[in-house]
Order: sequence, then C-alpha cells, then structure tokens
Amino acid sequence: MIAMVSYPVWDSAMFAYTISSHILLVTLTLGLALLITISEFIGIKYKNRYFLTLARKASTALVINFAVGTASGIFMAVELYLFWPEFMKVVGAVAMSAFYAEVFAFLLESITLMMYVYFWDNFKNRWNHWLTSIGVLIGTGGSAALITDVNAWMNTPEGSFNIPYYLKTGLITDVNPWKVFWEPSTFAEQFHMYAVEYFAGSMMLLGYFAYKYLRSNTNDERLVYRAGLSILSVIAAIDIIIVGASGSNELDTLLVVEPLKYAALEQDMVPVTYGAPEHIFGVIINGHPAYYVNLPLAQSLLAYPFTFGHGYIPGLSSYPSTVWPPSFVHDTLDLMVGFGVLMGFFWLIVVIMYFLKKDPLSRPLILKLTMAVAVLGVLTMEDGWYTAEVGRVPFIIKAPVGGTGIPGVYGVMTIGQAASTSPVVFPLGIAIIIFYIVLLPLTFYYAFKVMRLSNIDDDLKMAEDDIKIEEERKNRGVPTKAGMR
Amino acid sequence: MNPIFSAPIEVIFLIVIIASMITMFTSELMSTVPLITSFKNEKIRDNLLKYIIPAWEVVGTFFVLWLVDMETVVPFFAPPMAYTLFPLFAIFIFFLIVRNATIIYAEFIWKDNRLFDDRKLYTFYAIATFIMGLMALSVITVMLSGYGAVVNISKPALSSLNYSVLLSKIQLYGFIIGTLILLSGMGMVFYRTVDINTSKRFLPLILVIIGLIIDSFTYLSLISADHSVNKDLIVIPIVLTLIIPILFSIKKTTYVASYKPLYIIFTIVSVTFLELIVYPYVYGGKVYVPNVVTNSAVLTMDFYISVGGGIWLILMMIYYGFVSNHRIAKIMAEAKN
Repeated sequence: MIAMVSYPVWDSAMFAYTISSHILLVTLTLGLALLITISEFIGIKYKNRYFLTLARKASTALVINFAVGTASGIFMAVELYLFWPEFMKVVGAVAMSAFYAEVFAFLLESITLMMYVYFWDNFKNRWNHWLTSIGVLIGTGGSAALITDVNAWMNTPEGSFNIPYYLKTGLITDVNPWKVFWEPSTFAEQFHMYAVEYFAGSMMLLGYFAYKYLRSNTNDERLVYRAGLSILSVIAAIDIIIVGASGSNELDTLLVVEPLKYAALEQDMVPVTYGAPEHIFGVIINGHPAYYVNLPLAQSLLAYPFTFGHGYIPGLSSYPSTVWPPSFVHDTLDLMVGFGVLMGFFWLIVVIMYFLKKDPLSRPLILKLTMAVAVLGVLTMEDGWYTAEVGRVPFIIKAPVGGTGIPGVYGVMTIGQAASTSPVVFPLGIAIIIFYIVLLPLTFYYAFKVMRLSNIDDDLKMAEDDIKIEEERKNRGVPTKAGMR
Repeated sequence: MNPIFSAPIEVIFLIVIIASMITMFTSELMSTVPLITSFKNEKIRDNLLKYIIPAWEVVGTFFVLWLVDMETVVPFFAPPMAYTLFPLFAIFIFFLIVRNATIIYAEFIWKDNRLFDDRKLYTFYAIATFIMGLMALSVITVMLSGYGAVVNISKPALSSLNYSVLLSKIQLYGFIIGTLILLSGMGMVFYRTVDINTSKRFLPLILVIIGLIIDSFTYLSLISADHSVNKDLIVIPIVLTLIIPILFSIKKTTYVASYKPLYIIFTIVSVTFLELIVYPYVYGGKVYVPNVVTNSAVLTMDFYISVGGGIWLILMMIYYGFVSNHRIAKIMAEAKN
C-alpha cells in the first residue's frame, strides 16, 4: 500500500501528522505556563493557599509536558532533514536565524522551568520564585513566535533573498536574514497564533478542571479546581473575542499578501470589485462551486466595510488550476469559523450569567458544556492549522507579495521539489505514527494524573508554608534574594 | 598555515557546542550503571538523582542547540549527514523519548501505582540512556572514520551508510569499550560511588588509565591520522582526563575532584581538542569542512544572536547555580567536616 503513495504525499502526510500532534503538546504547555504565572501571582498577592496549590500542581504537569515536548521537538528537527532536504538547504541559508533564536528562547524556558519546579523551596522570597514563571512564560511564548516567523517567511518570503536568481540558477544570493523576522504576513500570523494557542490551551485545561470539579469529594478540592476554572474562564471569555478579531485580521491580510490562498479559502472563482457573496460550505465541481449556501454581498461587505463592499476580491481564475490549493480548505475554514461562533455564544452565556450573579462555574450543566467546548476548542485549533497549511499547497515556499519575478511561476519551491525521495522515509513515517499514538495519550494521562489532589491536606500545608515564609520575610524586611530556606 | 587558525568563528562555536553537548550527555551516561546496581543505597541514589533530575532537561536542550547550529553553519551538509546516520539517529531519538518519559514519570510516580514504581522507571531510564550512549558513540565513530559512509552533498537523499562495513571494524568496538571503561571510572568520581577511606579510591584512576589507552589508540586510528596535522594535540585531553582521578585518589583533594563544574570544564576543553585534531576533515577525510560551511549572511546574524543569547544563557546558568546552591564554598565546608 505504501508503494502506491508518492514520496511528496507520504512526506507531507507524515509531517502534517507530526506537527498536528506536536501542536497539542505546545498548546497545553502555553496554557499551563500562563496558568501557573497567574495562579501563583494571585496566591502570593492575596495569600490564597488554593491558588498556590494550583500553581504547584500545574507546574508538575508542565514539566511532564515539557519533557515529552522536547523529545518530540528533536524528533521533528531530524524529520525536517530527512523529509525535506532541499527545503532545509534554503532554510539553512536564509531563515535559520529564527530557529537559532528559538533555541535560546527554549533554553530560557528550560532553565527557568527547572528552577521553578525543582527549586520551589529554595526561594526565601516568593516573588523571586514567581519571577521564574515569567521566564517560563516568555520562553514558551518566544519559542512559538519564532517558529511562526519561519512559517510567515514560507508564506511571504519578501526580500529575504534574490528569488528570481535562485529560480534561474539554484543559487542563494543577497540574503537578508533580518527580513525573516518581519515578513508581510508575520504580524497577522503572530496575532492569530497567540490568540488561538492560549485559547485552546485554556480550553484543554478548563475541560479537565470542570471534570475534576464535578467529581470532587471535599470542599478543599473543589476550591483548588475552582481556582483553575476561575482563571481559565476569564482568559477564555476575553480571548475568544481576540481570536475572532485576529482571525478577521488574518483574512484581511491574506486578501492583500496571499490573494491565491484567500481566493481558495473563500471559494472565489473570478476576481470582482464589488458584490462578492459569502459561500457557506460547498465544493468545486468542474471549476464551478456547488452545494453551498449563498449569502449575497456578504464577503465584499466583510472585506471592505468602510467602502460598503467596494474593493478588489481576487479569484482563482487568475491562476492556472495546477497551483490552486485543494478546494476543501474552504470547508475547513467555514467549519473553523462556525465552531468559533458556537464557542463565542457559549462564553457570552457564561459572562451574562456571571453578571446576573448566577455563578455559572458551579452549575453542573455549564461545567459539562465546558468539557464539550474544550474538545471543540482543540478541534477548531487543529482545523485552523490544517486550513492555513493546506492553503499553501502545492508550494512549501510561496512567492513574495509581488510575485516571483518570473512569469508563470507562482512559488519559490513546490512540495514535490522539496520532498525526500529516499526509501528511509517509509519506516520513519511508520515509526512516527506509532510514536505519537503511544506517547501522546500516555503523556496527557500522566500530566493530568499528577495534577490530581491525592493528598489535599499535604498540598495545602505546603501552600500555607509558602505564605508563612513570605509573611515572615515581609515582617523582617529581608532583602530580596534567593537562597536555601 | 595550520587549518585550525583559519577556521571560521562559527565553526569554532559549533565545535564548542558539540563538546558541551557531549560533556553534558556523558555526565548523565555515567549515572546509568550505578543507578541500576546501587539504587537501594540511599547515599549513592541521592548523589545520582540530585544531579540528573535537574540536569536531564538541560542535556536535552543541548541536543536541540547542536541540531540547529549544525543547520546554520553547514546547511548543505546537515541533510546528507542525517541520511548517512539515519538508523543510528532514529534509535537514539527513540530512546531519548523513552528516557525523557521514564525519568519524568519516575519523578512524579504516585504511590499506589500497581504497574510501576520509581525504581523500575529509573531502571528503564538508565537502560534508555545507556543505549543512547552506544548510538552516540557509533555516530561519532562514523563521523570520524567515515566507515561505510557514502556522502552525497548535492543529492542528500542518495547518501547512505553500509552497516556491514561499519560493524566489521574493530575500531568501533574499541572506541565504545574504551570510552565506557573511562566513563565508568569518571562516574565513580563524579557521583562519589566509591568509599574514599579505602583503597577503592584508586579504582577510578585505574579504570581511566585503561580506558584512555584503548581510546587513544582507536581514536588515532579512526581519524585516519594521515590527514591530521594536529594529532599531537591529543596530549591535552589525556592530561586533563587524568587530573580528575588523580585528585580523587589523594585524600585531601577528593572533594575537589568530585566538584562537578571541574569535570564539565575539563571535558569540554578535552572534547574541543579532540575535535580540533580532526579539523578540517570529517568522515575520515571524505568531507572537507571549509567546503561545506555556508557564507550566507545568516552566519553574521547568528553571531549576534550567539553573543546576546550566550551572555543571557551564562547569566541564567549563574543564577541557576546560585539558586541550586552548588557552590564551591559549600563543597569545601563538607570536605572539612
């Protein structure tokens, strides 16, 4: 069966599988990093033992996630060489600085996380301990941003090297590595990535805390899980608005810098300057859209609200059909938007209930719905990622905004040109499938298992000790420095 | 002119990163055998876990740093290298995952778990790390000797490794066995697994000397010394390696010998010189390093990132050391007691 699959298809499928699995670890890591920072801050500031207990428990889950995430990251780095040797040659000569800087962000995360978890009791001043969580937050966030820089460069490699010369000769010249950090699509990608990752990470944890809250036996346990629910629901309720805004900004940016991808995502067949309808779902049959729900004028109005829908909307007919992305990206986009709207409604109801003083987070129905929305949040994130990446097909590195400079060439490198043709990719791919199938469920199970409150009295006692130490330090006026207790 | 003096700064930086990675990994590798054999001995177990539990993540981070720096400095060489070493890398990474997972599971294992306890998990960790060590030594052997390697820079996917050639070479086994003997001696010092009040304190010195003899001969054979103009530099790693077990065998200086930064600094310097002996060739002369070093502006950019990131990293490590209380003063106080 494997022999029937072409190398580019196999390589793409395996790498897509790897990244979509790795993203789950990254998302949970980002969510946990934000949770422990906020939780410990509240715990120290308001001398609240429940929030401190939550921070401690969540940090152990974070370190487990980090351990497996590191291994997964190394696995991916080697995969990049083996699946995409030609692509990596260009990356190495043009865009490697972003990966390189990412290593230092990773080191920051690694060292501060070690201090945060393993030297928890070594800090006399609890605020100094809290500061290490800021290091974790910056390290995890910085890593995500720098990897997104490379992705933005793949979408719009503007001014980073001499593309026409490379396409003619295969030689890389006039390299400007600074440009990789700020391409035309960078801001929109970063903005949307942060909004989505923190939302999905928060939702994953919310689902877990909602489940544990419903199953708690004691009041103390409930209060710890409630602390988690409170922090994460505030993040989610605010962030879902930012997700919507950043998503809209992303589409507006695509309209200008990646018109081909935009046309595919919106199922626009011909370019127009007014009156573009919004197609809800549908497929393209023989070059024509079919089986969709039509919303007349809606797309033009959404894209150009200030000119009442007057403005250029690109169409696929401007490009040869050989460079069109697969048509299902339109449906995955609609699915993503639909799920996003559903989640938005859910959080709107929760917020209204909160202001009506109905305490939504203690209601079993809302908590059960939170668990369902958590699953939806993760699915939506993965769906969005597939939409963005498949929207680049058939290219791995697309053309700059102004084109490649060579008529009839719409991208710098196709997936077919970049893919490995070595037979080693088949056993490697099978190993990857097995690896993530076994490891991911085990890791999530383990991470959530260590977060449970096996001995709530001991956990709370440790938090009380932390509060006592901070109070003693304040009363004594001890200068702020680290050291053994 | 000696090729070392004309080596680009980025290549020297890569050499130091490789040396640091190997050093950090060997410090972990040395813990594997005592972790399995002496886990029930509370003192030894504490000595081992006190170091490896915070350090294992930093070791993993060095692997990433190496991979990325390789791609930066020699982007056209990294893919063919990955193809020649694929199965060795694959096994290494598989056990890296097992190592990461088992050590983290061991750390936080709950008491009522019916299947596993921390001892079993640390044993898995030790076995995984040991196998990673075997793979790493095999990779180094291929990188030095090029035994069985076909390297195609222009078409990386055509690069391969003939395992029957590699496995038929006695130098491979000599290098692995010699290094393992040497590390077992060093581990006794690093983790203080032998009683310093008995004549057993001379055991590390004996093991290190045996390991050094085997390693020196096989190393010079592996690097195809005809190519090397710097083979005399091997004296430096030999001397530095001997200092630590010698200090350990003298009663007054045993604690200095076990001071972990001493091993780390000496080993980084030693491995750096071992690499410089080979420079400018790898794969037994099949690849001439200056030919595969990129001259892209990316290197300049990465130099700035290295300086900024390096300073930041050093400051972080100092703070890490301060918080973890690994200070020479404390060690000296322990020595007096």
